[in-house]
Amino acid sequence: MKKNLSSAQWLRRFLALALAVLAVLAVLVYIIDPYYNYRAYDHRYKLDKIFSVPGVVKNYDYDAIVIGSSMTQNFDMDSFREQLGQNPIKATLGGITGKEISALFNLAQGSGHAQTYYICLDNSTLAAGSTEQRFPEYLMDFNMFNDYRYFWGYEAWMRFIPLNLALVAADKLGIELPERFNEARSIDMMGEWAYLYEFNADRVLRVYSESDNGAAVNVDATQAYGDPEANCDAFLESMDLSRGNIVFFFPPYSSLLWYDMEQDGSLDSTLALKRYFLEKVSGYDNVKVFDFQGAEFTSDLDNYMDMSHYSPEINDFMVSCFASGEYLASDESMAETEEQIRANIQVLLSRYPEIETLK
Amino acid sequence: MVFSSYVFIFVFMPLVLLGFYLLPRLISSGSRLRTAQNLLLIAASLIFYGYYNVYYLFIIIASILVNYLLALAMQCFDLSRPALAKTCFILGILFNVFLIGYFKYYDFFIENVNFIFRSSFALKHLLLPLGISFFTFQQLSFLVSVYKKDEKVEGFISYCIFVLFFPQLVAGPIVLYSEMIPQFNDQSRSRFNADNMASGLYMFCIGLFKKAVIADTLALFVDNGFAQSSLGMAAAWSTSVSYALQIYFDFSGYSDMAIGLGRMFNIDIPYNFLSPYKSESFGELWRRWHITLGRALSTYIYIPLGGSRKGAVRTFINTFLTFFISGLWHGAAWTFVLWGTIQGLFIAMERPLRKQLARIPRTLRVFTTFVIFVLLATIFRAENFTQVGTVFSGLVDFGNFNISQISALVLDNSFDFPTAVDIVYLFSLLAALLFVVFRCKNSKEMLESFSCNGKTLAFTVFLFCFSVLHLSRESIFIYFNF
Repeated sequence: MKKNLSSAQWLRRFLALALAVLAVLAVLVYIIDPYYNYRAYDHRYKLDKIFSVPGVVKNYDYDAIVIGSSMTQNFDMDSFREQLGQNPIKATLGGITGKEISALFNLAQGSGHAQTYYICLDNSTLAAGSTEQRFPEYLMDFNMFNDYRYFWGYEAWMRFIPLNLALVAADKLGIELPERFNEARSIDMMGEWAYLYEFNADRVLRVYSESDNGAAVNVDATQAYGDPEANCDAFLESMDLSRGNIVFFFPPYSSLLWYDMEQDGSLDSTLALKRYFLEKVSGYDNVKVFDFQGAEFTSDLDNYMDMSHYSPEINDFMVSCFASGEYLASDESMAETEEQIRANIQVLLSRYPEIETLK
Repeated sequence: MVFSSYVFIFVFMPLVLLGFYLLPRLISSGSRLRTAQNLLLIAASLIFYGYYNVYYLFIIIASILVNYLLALAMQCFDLSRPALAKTCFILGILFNVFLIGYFKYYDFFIENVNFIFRSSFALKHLLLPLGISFFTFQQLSFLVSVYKKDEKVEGFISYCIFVLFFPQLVAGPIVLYSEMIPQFNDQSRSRFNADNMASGLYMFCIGLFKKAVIADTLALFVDNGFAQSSLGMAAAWSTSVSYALQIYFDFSGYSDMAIGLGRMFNIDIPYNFLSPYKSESFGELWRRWHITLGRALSTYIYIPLGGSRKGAVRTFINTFLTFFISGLWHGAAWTFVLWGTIQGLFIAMERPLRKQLARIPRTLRVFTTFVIFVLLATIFRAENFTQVGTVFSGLVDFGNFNISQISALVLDNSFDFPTAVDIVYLFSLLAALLFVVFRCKNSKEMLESFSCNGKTLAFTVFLFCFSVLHLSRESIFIYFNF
């Protein structure tokens, strides 16, 4: 091959060009900001929660934050605005772990935006040791020095920026996109999945009969996770509960889930852990706990798409309870709720007697 | 530390290079300068090796000390007390076998004992020190060479740099004392050489692209494929071919980076891969694949066993044994042993059949060699025989092509593309890579034709920048585990 540069010239130009290209790429990421790491606003595509949620928590304008699993993803943010007068965001992730909840909680506290925190407590959140954290570390802080992973990141450049540009181009060209792409542009609707499913008893019973071991939240708190009380302690200690209005809530799984737990022997230990949690947070004046798990509607499977996931109407009802104080838990109500859970299982079985023959 | 990481590329490599070429400004004496440069490289190599786990350093330092002292003792006793020299040699062999046996094969051995005798001895789940197979093998070869009087033991610094030189420390190429030490002692290699730096950078970027962009992209398909509980024919073949390509681009990419880094320090490291998939036979493939391992196995196992000098049957047995040991060297599992054994059988059979095989058209021989290698690579990758069964039943499941399963291979948890896009993406990528391995120049040929001009400049900048964009999903090199 013909040589028309000296080696020293070649090296100097390599350094200059490579640095220039990397600088341009970094500036472009800063401007396009596909993960909202520097600014978050509506009408842009949010293609993956793992990459989008941290930026929204850091940069969006809000005063209330809903943190949780798929149990929280169908909350209508307008209902918070209308009934509670708050300006909320959802920071959610399917199958969220305790470690992810506390990381989002701490990020929201650090952002200085949040006044009120709504935190969904799945059975596994308390019982499981919080080991998994799927949000990229470099997005979960306010440190600019590790943002090089963002500026020259694989996901930013190979996945999201090309897709963002393609979707914007499709819009401009008038190409009709599937509904989910439109919903991916609303911060209010981040993670929403209700429109993908039907909510009725037939579906729930079918899913139940086809599954080997129920839903992910149906866990034996004492056997699956070592010492659940120690895990619960670690979860609470990973958050500063003394600041802000903190609302924990136990989501209203269907009675089928509780029935299933009763069958596999994990019901009592799970309820005991709830009592333990309530006792641990009872010392905080700024912490409230709502417990929807004894609600009557849990025995009506038409409200569900599987054993645990409820319809958006139930989300609306929960927001109305946050406003009214209904289902607020206390030491006394806890025993009542437990009785109600067991009573609801009997109602469920009388409504759907076939359940006992499905497994 | 891995080459394809931000910390290596943007911090470690520039700092070590800077320090290395600043030393000539501080030290004028040639021999003292060379010693200082070697000491700097040793210190850098220890940081490189202990970056993720300081505990590794104790093992490698102990290994170096014991081997060096035994080699020195062997040399001292050589003339006066040959029996003592032999004892030192045997001790050295036992020490290295014990070291690698303990860390790499202990659990494998106990698992088999437990299986055969239905016992329940506890497994240790030891953390395998990085590249233990490489540095142990390299030191064993040194002991053999000293014992056979092919090598002379020099100073401790020379020995340390021979074992520790970070470009080839954890995954080869496996180098010989005689080819490295003269270079480390050569004072003419102390000064900055722009030609070497430019060509070394070019080679490094080729290797970086092969690893960070190609191999790690293929790793996704492979990991997803092997995670499936059942595979249709399309997904099974895509998984197996992807793995054959992944392991080639991963390991040859690492070797290219090592060679490139060596050049940046004015050190020539031997080539390890020369277009292995262009081979017409398994014998040829192993002369083009992991060349320095083949060289070492041939020198220290095949030839001492008698090589091809003792008749057809012994040649067959020697070849078979050499590859059996190669399989075991690659990993502590029966899948590796099976992989090595079958390779050994193929190579052993090729020799007596070479006249008949020569009559088959070349293209067909290349194709068949590749397909068999793909199948064997599947055994190599599988974590157990259940996985081997899953992929192999997919490979021959002619009634179940199931092309839509390709989506499951491409899935990366960041965004789901439509199935048609996944299929086009995966097949076009595999086709392009197959074209590269069968038709394009290899890294050695590219390096030999390298010249400083605008075209190579633009190409290298592209390789570098595009690779950097893939570092945030950095992964470990496959051969680090061996």
